[in-house]
Amino acid sequence: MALLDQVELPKPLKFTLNWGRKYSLWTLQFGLACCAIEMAASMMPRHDIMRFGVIPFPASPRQADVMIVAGTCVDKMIPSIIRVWEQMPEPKYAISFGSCSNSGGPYWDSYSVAKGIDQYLPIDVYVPGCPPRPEALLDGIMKLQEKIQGESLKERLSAS
Amino acid sequence: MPLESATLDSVSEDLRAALGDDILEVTENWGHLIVRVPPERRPEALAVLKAIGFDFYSFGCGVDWPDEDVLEVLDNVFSTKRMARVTVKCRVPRSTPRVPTATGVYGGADWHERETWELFGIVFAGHPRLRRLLLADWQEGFPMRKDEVLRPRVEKPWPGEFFEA
Amino acid sequence: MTTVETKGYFTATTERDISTGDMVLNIGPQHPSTHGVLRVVVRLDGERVVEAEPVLGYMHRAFEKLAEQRSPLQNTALFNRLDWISGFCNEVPYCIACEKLAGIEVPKRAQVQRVILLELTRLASHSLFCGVFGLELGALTAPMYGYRDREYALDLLEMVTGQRMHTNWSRIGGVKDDFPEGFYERVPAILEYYRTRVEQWLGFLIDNDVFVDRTRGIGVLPPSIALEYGVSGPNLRASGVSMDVRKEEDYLGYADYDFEVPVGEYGDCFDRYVQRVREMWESCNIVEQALDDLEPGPVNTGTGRLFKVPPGEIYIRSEGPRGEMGYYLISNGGREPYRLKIRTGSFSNISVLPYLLRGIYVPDIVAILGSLDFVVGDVDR
Repeated sequence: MALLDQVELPKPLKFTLNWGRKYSLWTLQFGLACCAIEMAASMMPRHDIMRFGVIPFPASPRQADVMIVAGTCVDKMIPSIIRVWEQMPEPKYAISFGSCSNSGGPYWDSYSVAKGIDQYLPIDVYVPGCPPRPEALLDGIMKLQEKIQGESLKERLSAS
Repeated sequence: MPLESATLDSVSEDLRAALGDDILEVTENWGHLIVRVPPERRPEALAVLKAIGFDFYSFGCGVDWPDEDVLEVLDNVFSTKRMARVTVKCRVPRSTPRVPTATGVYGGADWHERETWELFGIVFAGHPRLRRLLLADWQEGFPMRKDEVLRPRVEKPWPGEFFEA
Repeated sequence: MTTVETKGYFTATTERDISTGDMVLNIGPQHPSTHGVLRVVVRLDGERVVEAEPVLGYMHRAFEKLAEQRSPLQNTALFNRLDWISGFCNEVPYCIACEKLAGIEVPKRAQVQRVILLELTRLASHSLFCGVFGLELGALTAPMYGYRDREYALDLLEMVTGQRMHTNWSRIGGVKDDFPEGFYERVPAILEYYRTRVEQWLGFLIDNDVFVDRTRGIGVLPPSIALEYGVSGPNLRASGVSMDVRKEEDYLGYADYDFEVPVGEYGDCFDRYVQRVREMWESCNIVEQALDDLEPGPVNTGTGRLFKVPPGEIYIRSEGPRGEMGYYLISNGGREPYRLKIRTGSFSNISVLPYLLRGIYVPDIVAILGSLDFVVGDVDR
């Protein structure tokens, strides 16, 4: 696995590895505010994110693949978010869930809110809404899975 | 059940008996009393209220009146026995806002005074540990004062501003 | 030289003194059990807490400053996000404050609709509490039940308002629109479901010895301390003080409905849990009576978007699922409020944490935090 970021894999191997990675995502939920409730609702019986292969609760950031930043990113909280992001091992993805973490949301003029978490982290998928429905998160996970299927790890890891 | 004015009359009588001439004004507003006192008598006024049955400390906050160059401190207390509500107000000049603390009277005033200090700059003399509660360490100024503007609105005004009557 | 005896088997002596020191443990801000981003810094002497201090501000979005820049319609949309689990309960007292200052009489049908939506939101919020409280004590299937129950009330809310959580439905002068067709047929079945769930919640966790051991006698809140710190809502009623805004003030016509206000006995975590489950039962009663109380009529007086609130100041409070939710509105005649102080239940509920967390064991910290049922958006505003 150590050569993955230096060698472009042959297509069948790349397909299989990406297929395995996209259907075994372990998401770290960074549930900050109201969007955390809808994110948790997507993991509960009615919306059931586990049928997508996404297991909700990793024991620590070091075991997680995806970080879902759900809720308002207040300036005081940003160092914690960045520290947790840095603890995650590559390849890692980030989903920005809700309009507060997309762009500041309804608090765009507040003196203590960061206008979007993408100023601090590289975000792969943006899920709009205030709060987005749990089905929207499932759609976001599916888009992330399409992105993972089509990506080459060499490009991703060498670019970062 | 609505608050009765007989209850409020008895409350204002008790206050006048205890504090005398220090009470600047007592008005009735939407069913509750507003009592204005000089800032140095704030703890005594709250202690009198607590002694006559106002056991519930609802909240404390500040108001900025830049036109009159004062900052105002509000305390809102409620009596579960008498079903009455009193707001104690006191005004301090904006240049030296200093008010004695009420934490000796109501324990709940602790956090409300910390919040009022960090948002308005009103110093509560005698508070056990007056330090930041809600704001980050690097936040400058006193955000809730009227002269502090929201920077994003200055840089890009809200597009709906043109829609005025 | 220190001598250490171990049960009389042997004695060991050491050459230097063994001394222990207090350990500072930082819980949060990102922690599964802190209901959001609350940080609690505790100083531990072994397993016992010597001192605890909550550190707030990780969700401070400056609602009071934002409210001064927004019209009433925008404020109504904004205040849903205070106590985000029960969105509708936060808009109503602000609308009542503006209506009272302007002397607007709300039509009866709008009052009843507000009551119905309020109580449905309360059902959703308390279901979530029951589930999440079980999760914090280690019952990992409890939140599955809690969220499943919550979905039924959210279905009804979505049917009426179009939104699950932040309903943005209350307006100055009433509510936005009338109930849709098919709403009245769905409600009785869902109320029946919640009634059976109340019985199940009472049996599900209360018959469990582990649950009782972890919550009985833990986090006892005496009524005098609770009142002095401004604790309200189910937390205060579990300590024995019967204080409920719905019974005390002439507010939304609650005086027409026949419901009880349950009161607890000891004020420990167990009582706070049972208190909320009993309140769910009462909420079902209120919704049933309110549905019979609906008369045909308008649901809004039609105040427009350019509505200016007349000058004055007023304090209006309401009974939210977390406690007393009040707005002290100072208006100078403009569209935006001059000063709006938002008095939230969770802020005062947490201010007793330094008192409650003193002298307890570390696992009880989570039990107490969970039983207070606070929301960090309510605390930090």
